[in-house]
Amino acid sequence: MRNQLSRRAFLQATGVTSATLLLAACVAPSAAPAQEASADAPAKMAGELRILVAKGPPVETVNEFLSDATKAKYPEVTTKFEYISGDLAELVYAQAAAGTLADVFFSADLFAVPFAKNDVSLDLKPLTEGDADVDLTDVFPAMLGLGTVDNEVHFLPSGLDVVTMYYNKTLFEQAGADLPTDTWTWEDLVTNCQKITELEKDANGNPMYWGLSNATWNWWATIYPWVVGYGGQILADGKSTWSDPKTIEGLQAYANLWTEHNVAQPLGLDVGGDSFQLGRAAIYTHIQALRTPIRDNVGDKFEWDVQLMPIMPDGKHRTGMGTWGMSVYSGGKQPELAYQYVKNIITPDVQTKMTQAEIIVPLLRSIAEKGEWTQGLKTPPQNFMAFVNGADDAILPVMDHPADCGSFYVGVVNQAYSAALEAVIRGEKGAEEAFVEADTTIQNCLDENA
Amino acid sequence: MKVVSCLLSLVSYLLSRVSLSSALEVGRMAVATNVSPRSMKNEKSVWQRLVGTKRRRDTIEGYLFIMPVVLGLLIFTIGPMLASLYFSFTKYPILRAPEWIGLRNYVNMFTKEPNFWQACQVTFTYAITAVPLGILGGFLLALLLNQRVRGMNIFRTTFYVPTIVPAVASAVLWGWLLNPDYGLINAMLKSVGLPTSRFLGEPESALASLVLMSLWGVGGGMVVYLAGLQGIPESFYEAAKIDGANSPQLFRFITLPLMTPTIFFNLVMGLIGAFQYFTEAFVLTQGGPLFSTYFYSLMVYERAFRFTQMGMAAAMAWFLLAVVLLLTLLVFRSSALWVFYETEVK
Repeated sequence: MRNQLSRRAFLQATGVTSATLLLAACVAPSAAPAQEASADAPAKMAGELRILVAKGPPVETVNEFLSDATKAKYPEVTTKFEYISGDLAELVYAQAAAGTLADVFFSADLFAVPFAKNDVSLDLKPLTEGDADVDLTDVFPAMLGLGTVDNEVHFLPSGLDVVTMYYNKTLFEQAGADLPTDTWTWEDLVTNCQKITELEKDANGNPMYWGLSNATWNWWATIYPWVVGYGGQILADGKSTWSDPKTIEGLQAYANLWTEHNVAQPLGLDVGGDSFQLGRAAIYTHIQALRTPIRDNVGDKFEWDVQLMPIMPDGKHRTGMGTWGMSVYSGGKQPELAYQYVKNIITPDVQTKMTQAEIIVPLLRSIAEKGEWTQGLKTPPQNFMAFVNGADDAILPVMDHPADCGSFYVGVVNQAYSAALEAVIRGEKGAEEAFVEADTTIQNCLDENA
Repeated sequence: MKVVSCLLSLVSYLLSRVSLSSALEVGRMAVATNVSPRSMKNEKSVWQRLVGTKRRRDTIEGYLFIMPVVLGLLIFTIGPMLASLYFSFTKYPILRAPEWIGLRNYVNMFTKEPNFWQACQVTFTYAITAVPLGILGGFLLALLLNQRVRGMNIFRTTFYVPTIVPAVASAVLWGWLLNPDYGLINAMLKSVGLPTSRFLGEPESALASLVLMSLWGVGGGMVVYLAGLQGIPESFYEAAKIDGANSPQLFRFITLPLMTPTIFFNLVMGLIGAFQYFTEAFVLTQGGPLFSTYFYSLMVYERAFRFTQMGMAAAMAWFLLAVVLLLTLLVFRSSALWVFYETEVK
């Protein structure tokens, strides 16, 4: 029997079909179940990996090494770089909220906690266990620690980025000051830097040169070593302890570089660029990555080198670190493949390539401590091993604050301690008054988020 | 984008359903009257039958034409506003679901936020200094540029140009001008033997420096004043001159009263703008030194995107809206006392 389809039935069927298709289009696509990550890498891997990187060197260059290493092992894998524009955290949060974040993304020490606690980055530790290609015990603990949150590894670091002292040899010599050595204490630094501050004054009697640049004055890697070096702490048993007497003693000693010894470049005094590179400050404290721009910018204007940070009252070369690395998106569909890509960053082969390209100082003890890696590198600096020798005295930032209170890097904690320190350095408040206030602010947040 | 495309699909689907229904209706009528649908359509189109009279048709077509704007307003303005009102009663760290906490954000904002009152004070101080200065500067400039002088258009363009420079670019430019060590302004002060300043580098001078910078943008208000000045009929001045009025009297009794609606407009816009001041502080000072330029909008931005406390940021934004609304209402109420409209003359 022949079934006749009337025009009316046809139109109604079309309408119903359209409505169904429309509803189907409007429903959010359900995420495909993420592939279970396992320590045993499948022998064959294929697919496209999306990689979120900062354009240009060093990040893009390093990722080219990672991409090459991945493709060499898995020829059927392709990589596609996406570039960061604007604020990384905003971009990552927005894309993670939409489920469109790349499989692998650039991260750095300051993002480790927020990305981990907001479930954006994947814990890589289980994947490294049993993986013959990587040996986490060979990585300097200080560097691995920057990407470790609650005993989970949330990014693999690129290099050994310990804060080290860059110094202007020419300026020290002009002032008749001793050159920094690896046995210098902070008292030695103050004594010699005062000669630099006295070198020349402007018409108003203000120094034309300073011992210490103010560029990193409120970086945790500058400040926290003073707290630890004087035996203090900033968080204990869930309580904020910035006003602990030893903490205050350390912070006051740091502020004294401005208020009492007058060796540091005043806050708010912008000399039109980096005062170290302009030859106006004799010392600048930062990581190894600055050696190339400093060399390029300084040229032959003055001689410079690097040295270990001065010794603190606890007898150690207390210093901080700051590094970047690569993370795997926890909501990605191919975490195993993403891990296979990221892990290359700590393999001896890629570490050696990055070192030779002058992008990093190797973070594997087996390479770094031998010293051969320094051969053939451009100079200055001459004292490359200063970048390595401070690593075991380097201290990790406190990462135990609740995410809503921020951390050393951002949020309530950062804002509260920075404000207190600035008030002390500018002489607006005493250290005790300022840091009791900071404690109150941070403690309010801790109580709110307990 | 997905939501928008879905809504557009929905609209087109509904329209197609309307056509479908009307086509079926026409078909039904054709069967009942034994007339072909095509011939019926010729007598009166489906659209005409559907919408009825011309007046009704015009109304529907009008609504259809404004629909893109109305939809845009609903989706991109009213929707987010309502969402932010809801978020202001929640703890919402963006990547986790909002958690209802009632009025806690509002209470904490006033009682526990360490820099809340500082941000209010900075913003209020800026508003009560920059807005009057901007009004005065713009008005005086407009008076000067309202003269009949050769090459006046060049002057007008010159003073207006800064307002079309992007805010970030002008902020960076001013950062260089105000640089304590090598900036042009300190160099000028030095050259005439005056003391120099660290401008944005010191808490005492940073806010004043931003107020000074704001004067660079008076060209925007100046154009409005100029339009107002040129709208005053020349006959008023001629009549007053015949009555013996001198220049100050012309200004006091004709120019100023007739310019009050323009001043009122610039005051309202200036106040709203001052309470939303953000870009220059964000680019140049980040709220420092010592929170001396910590504007309210900067605090809201920090809470939302740096501290990921979207709930608190939303509460702060709603408080700002309430304050701006209240101040605007006060200005409107006060306008009866000082704003003069020609139409009020009986």
